[in-house]
Amino acid sequence: MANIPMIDRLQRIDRKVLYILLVIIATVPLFIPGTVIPTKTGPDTQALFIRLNQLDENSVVIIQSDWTVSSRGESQSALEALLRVLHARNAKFVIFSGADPQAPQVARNVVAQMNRNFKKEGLREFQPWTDYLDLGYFPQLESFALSMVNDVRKAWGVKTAVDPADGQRKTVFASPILRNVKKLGDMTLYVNVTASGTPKILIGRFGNPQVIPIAAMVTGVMGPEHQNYFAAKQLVGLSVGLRGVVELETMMANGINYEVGGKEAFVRVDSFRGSVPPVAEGKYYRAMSYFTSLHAAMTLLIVCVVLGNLGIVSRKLKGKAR
Amino acid sequence: MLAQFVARGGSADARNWAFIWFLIGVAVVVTLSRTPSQFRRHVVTAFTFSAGLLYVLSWLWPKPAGYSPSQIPVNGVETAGAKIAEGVTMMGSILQVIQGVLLFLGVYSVLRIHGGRLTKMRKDWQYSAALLVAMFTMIIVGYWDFRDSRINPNVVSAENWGFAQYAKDFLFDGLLQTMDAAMFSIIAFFILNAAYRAFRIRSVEATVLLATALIVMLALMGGVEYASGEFVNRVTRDDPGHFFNNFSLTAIRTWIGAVFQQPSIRGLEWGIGIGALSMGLRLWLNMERGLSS
Amino acid sequence: MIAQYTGGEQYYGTNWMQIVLVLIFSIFIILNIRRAEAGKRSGKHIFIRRIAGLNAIDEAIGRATEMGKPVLMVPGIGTLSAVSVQALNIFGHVTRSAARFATPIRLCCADAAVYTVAQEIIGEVYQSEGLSERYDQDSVQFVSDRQFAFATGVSGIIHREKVAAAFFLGEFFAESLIFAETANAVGAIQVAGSTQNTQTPFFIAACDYVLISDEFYAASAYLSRQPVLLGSLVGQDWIKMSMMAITVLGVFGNSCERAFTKATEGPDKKVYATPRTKSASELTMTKFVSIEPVPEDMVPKREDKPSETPKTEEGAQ
Repeated sequence: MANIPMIDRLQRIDRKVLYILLVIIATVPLFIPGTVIPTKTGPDTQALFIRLNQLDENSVVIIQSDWTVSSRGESQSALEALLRVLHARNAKFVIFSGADPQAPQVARNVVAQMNRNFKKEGLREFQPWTDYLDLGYFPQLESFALSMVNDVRKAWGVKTAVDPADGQRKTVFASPILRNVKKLGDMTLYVNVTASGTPKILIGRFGNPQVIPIAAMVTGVMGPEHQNYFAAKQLVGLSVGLRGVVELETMMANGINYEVGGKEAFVRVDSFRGSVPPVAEGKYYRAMSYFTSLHAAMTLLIVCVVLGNLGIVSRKLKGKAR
Repeated sequence: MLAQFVARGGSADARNWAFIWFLIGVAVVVTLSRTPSQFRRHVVTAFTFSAGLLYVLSWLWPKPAGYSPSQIPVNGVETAGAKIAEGVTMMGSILQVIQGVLLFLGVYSVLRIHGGRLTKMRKDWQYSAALLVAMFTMIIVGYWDFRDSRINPNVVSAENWGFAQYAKDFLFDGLLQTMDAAMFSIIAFFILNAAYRAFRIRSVEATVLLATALIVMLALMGGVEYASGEFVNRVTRDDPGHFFNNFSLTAIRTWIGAVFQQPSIRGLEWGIGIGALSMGLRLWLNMERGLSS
Repeated sequence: MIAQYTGGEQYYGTNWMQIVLVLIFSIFIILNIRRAEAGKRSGKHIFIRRIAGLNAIDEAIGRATEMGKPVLMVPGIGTLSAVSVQALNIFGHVTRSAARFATPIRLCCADAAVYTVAQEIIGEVYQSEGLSERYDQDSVQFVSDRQFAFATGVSGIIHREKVAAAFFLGEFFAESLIFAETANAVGAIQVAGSTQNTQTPFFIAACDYVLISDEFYAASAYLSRQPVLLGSLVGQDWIKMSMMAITVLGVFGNSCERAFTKATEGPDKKVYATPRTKSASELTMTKFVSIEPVPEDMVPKREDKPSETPKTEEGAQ
């Protein structure tokens, strides 16, 4: 080992050293809260944010939450950002899962956490039955999606919830949220927050033209695949990974084409005529708080890749010099 | 206590029909098991074809515009389409029940393998014992919590939690979810190791791969991309038509995505979709022969 | 035409082009299966190019036999579907080679239905080779249907048994890199293939041989040379060539129309004083494949069914 030049040793760094470096570099930024990294927004997240801001108190949004705690870094912040915007717009939502039996409980935990945050911030909480409905888990998404398209009342009719007015457990279609819903298209938007390929299944089953507009909030690794569906307009909005949620939080903080005090808007979308104000209520920074860690980890990755190639480059240059 | 787990709702008539269909199902299974072997293949073919035919018909049948299932169809075609749609919805419900039954198949499989290991005291029987204890603890606590929530819906709020709720929270959120997250986090270490090993300039293709990966990774960092954009704006003096705008990280990343990545993925997805169509046709029309035969 | 037979114009938004294309593609596949079967009877062989990952199967099994270590096979974590059936078919071939050399196998399943089918396939392979006494029932295991519990279990098997060869074929998600890196750490030779494009890069970075995209589906045809599989492979190639031709035709047609013709009418039927360049949605090839929404006045008036009163659950408190 002593005779091996340093530049060649850099190609053979022990994996334990790399792992320890990663642990230190990725965790230290988590203890430095409040860092805000300015971020450019892309057309996919801009489209999603604009679409969400077109909702109102008459809108019913379907949220299919198909993630578990293993991808919570990306997916939990995505669901929280989505719920923040729905809360600000006073839109109603129906939440269920189609991919994993653990997912409904995870989604319930997020809604409960959001309610605790709202309470601390002095805002109204989501009320079951009147603001949202929890439908639980539906296995076999491929056939279930077709059932929803054909007859959503039959597909969801087996699910019940407690009406707080009389304490009776009733079918979910008795609630004020779904009372006037006869088909899937009567609802406003379908958002799939997922760590698996479920948007593709929905796009395939919801027909062409789609019976309801679909938006997706996926993890980073699913992003390139789903960009194709956004480009083909089969998704009306798309948020990819932690970066996508950071972009959403940036727009929630600054609005779109929204000028304050004569200063130029931070987020300009020239193709959008009009402006969207920022979300005035509450604190939304979960994704941004993880973003510094992401930067640190990516920097280490790039440095490792560069170090691993120094020896090869140096040998090639020496070979050419001879 | 058992009343909390019995399916409720529906009329006595529906429950009678469910019992009758159960008996018919048992009779069908017994008949099939006694079918001579030379006819079994034909029975399987008929069932497979009928099951697939429903979905194919559902896709082929004209879809009337503006029709909702709460409306009365105006002609024969709409009526037939509505019946097919009802069949698809019913099949969806049946498949969900089958999925639940398959869960029991998984539980039976775990019991058979690990129960066998435990009773015969084979190698590593202690781990099998731990697995079975964990499985039954989770099942019992889960059903206990479910029963409590049916009796008293207010148990959802933390103020009204009893022993079952605390136990479920500890086991599910405290143990299972945390271990799940830990296993997923291991991938970060593996990615670092794989990138360090794999991204080497060994050939022209590997160099192109490395350069593209570096650009995409830099663009993923919002701060770096923003800084590069500001640098380009300073050089171009905020002129959107300046040629140098093409060298911002955003422009290069967008170009890589739109020109290389999206068409490649489209092509790959096409291939996979066509392969799935081919495989589906072979299964539906019973043309598929296993490699083992 | 459809409207004529269905009694109303409300069907003409039914996307007939999609149906026609899929029917044509299905005919391509069935026709080529028939041609391949006829060709086999007359002694003609269909050529498939060499797929490196599949040639490595015998090499991998040979290595495992020399080292006296098992061969690991993982058919992914998806449910019983076309992909998992395909993976099990390939593993049947791998098991046949392993059985002949008395190499132990480990087949880890994450789905109970896949596990049941895998047991049948592997048992049949040993039986058909006349080597039933070598078949260990516990070599086919159901580990767990939870993604990371399955990943942990399989990683444990890889480390404890020090597998010499690993085959990862099927539907994989985030656990793909865990398997690939763990097998790499014990020095196993790895052949991987997934229909999930998101996982292919991870396999490429960590595995020795990778089947990309529809090479996975071609694998069974390559290994068995059965006419059904070869014929469907040729049919798939016909489909791809058709789509390429349609794409080129569409691009060429639209480009020529845009360059050499002008529109005098707008999309709103308004007549313009000066002819203008057509927009993308007005071009003939685009209109041929796109769907027009049905006008409101063509949707027939339908009566509502009698409404149902929302039910209260019996016995609810």
